[in-house]
Amino acid sequence: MSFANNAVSELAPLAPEACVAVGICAVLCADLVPALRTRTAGLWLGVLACAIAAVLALSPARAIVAQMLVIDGVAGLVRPVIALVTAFVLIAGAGERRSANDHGAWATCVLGIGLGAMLVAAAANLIVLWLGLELISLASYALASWRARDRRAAEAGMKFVLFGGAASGVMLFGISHVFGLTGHLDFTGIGAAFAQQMPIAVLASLLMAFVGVAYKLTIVPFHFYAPDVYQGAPALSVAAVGAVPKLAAGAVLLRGLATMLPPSLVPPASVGAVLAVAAMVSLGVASLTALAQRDAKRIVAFSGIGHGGTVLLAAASGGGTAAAASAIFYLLAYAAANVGALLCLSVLERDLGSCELAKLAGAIRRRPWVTVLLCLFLFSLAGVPPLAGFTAKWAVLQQALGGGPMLVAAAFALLASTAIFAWSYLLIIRAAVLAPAPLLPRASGVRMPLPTAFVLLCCAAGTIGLGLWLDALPAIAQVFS
Amino acid sequence: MSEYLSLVLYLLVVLAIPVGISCIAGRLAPHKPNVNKGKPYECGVSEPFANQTRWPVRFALVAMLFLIFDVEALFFYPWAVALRELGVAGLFYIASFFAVLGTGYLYARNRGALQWK
Repeated sequence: MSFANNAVSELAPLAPEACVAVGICAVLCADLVPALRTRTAGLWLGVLACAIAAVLALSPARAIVAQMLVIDGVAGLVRPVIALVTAFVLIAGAGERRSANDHGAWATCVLGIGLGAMLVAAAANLIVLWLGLELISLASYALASWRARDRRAAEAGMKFVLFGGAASGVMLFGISHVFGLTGHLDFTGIGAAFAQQMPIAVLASLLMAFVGVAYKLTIVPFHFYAPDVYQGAPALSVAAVGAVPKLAAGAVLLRGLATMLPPSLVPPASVGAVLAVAAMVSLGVASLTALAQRDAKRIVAFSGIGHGGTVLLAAASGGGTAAAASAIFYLLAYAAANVGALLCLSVLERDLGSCELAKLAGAIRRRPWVTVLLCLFLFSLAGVPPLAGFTAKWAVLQQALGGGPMLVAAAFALLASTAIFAWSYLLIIRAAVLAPAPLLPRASGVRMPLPTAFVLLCCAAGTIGLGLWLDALPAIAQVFS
Repeated sequence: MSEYLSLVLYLLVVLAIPVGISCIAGRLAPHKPNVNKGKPYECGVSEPFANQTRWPVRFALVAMLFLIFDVEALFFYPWAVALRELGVAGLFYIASFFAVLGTGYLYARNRGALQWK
């Protein structure tokens, strides 16, 4: 039995992931019972699995599992958050998708994204990283094209698959080169092989190997799928497709930068300047393109591209714990506001038929509380104090302004893009609050489902709470060190 | 840096040859387009029937399921080879893997993915 004991003790740190995997199996089994299929039982099973996974992932123990996965400070913080956000999306699904009859399949896809994201967040090996990203991608493709006969959903799904396939291919090509040049696939092995200096060929291969991460962070030029996916998929599914993978991608990016690069290249040195340029391009393209959009979900998509760029800027600012803490704090603030905003848009989309700005007119009369909360989340994304978005942007700026000239330039690009983005968000708020509307009846007869209201309040509490928690960065940095 | 010079030169040559051939062919070749030249076949019987037909999406579904189970069944081979060394732990690993695989199979079968309706 010692073998079995060894196996269990070796795999014990992966209990949260195992819990979500068991949850997926349980949801699929529940879906096989005809009486449960049309009810939300599958969703609640998924919520239970995620809640247990989140509690298990809170354990402060640090571990390395077979040179494949590492539970370090970043993973220890991000994995419970991923499980929590996945649970919130599932709870919201119980409210927003009450009349649907495909709860099991939908919950399986959302849980698949959660499981993949947890693996990516803990990945310390390029193969595990690729497998986790594929797990996220496959579930995301299905969620993006969920509305079977909708042309926009079909376009979104096709673009998502083609871009995802290309990104995955480039990533595998890069991984094969990394292995050929170093003989290692684990992050620490690659780092140890080039402890002093890294040849350009290895650096280029690593860049290709991290294309999949850039794709999930929607960094320009890997962003083209995002607006169509956000527009074509139901808003609630977008919350899972958009926010959860970004958390994981940010975590693994930080780990990769910290463990694989030699000291001469670690940000804010030369690699930091390259990342800063990529961040600047993402911020510029996203903020300017968002101005031309006439659909609230597309604006939120471009905001996601900009936020991906900001996380990249935070990662470029330094290899220390302070920069990592600012990046992770930014992702937490983004996740709370993004999930909240998309859930509000999901409610309005169900009521008004679409998230086009022209259709949003009169939303304040029909759903006053949802519209007010939507404004709160958009203000947070825009970086208005005292909300989480402001504190997070402040932290990133502080890090970037302490770096080299390229980082300072990128910090100014962040400021400029924040101002431009604010205009786009105000377009949504104007459409929902101020625009003259046909006299819509107040949706007092249609009560807000309790699960939706619960998740909205949690997101609002997170957005305000993270903004007011002034000691957040030192606290997070302490977890990392 | 110099060790990459040959690689850069090679890439430039690789790029130049197809671009060059396309440019030369575009300049020199006579252009007399007609309907038959635009068709996929240049010889033989010209399209006896339309080749753009609809085909059932079930082909894709069955192909996908086959691929998934085929690739996953491959994992049993290395386990079988290393059965004795892995011992009880190996049984534990493969049992958990088999449970996941079995759930997927039951789900696909129960939801009618394998029926040719």
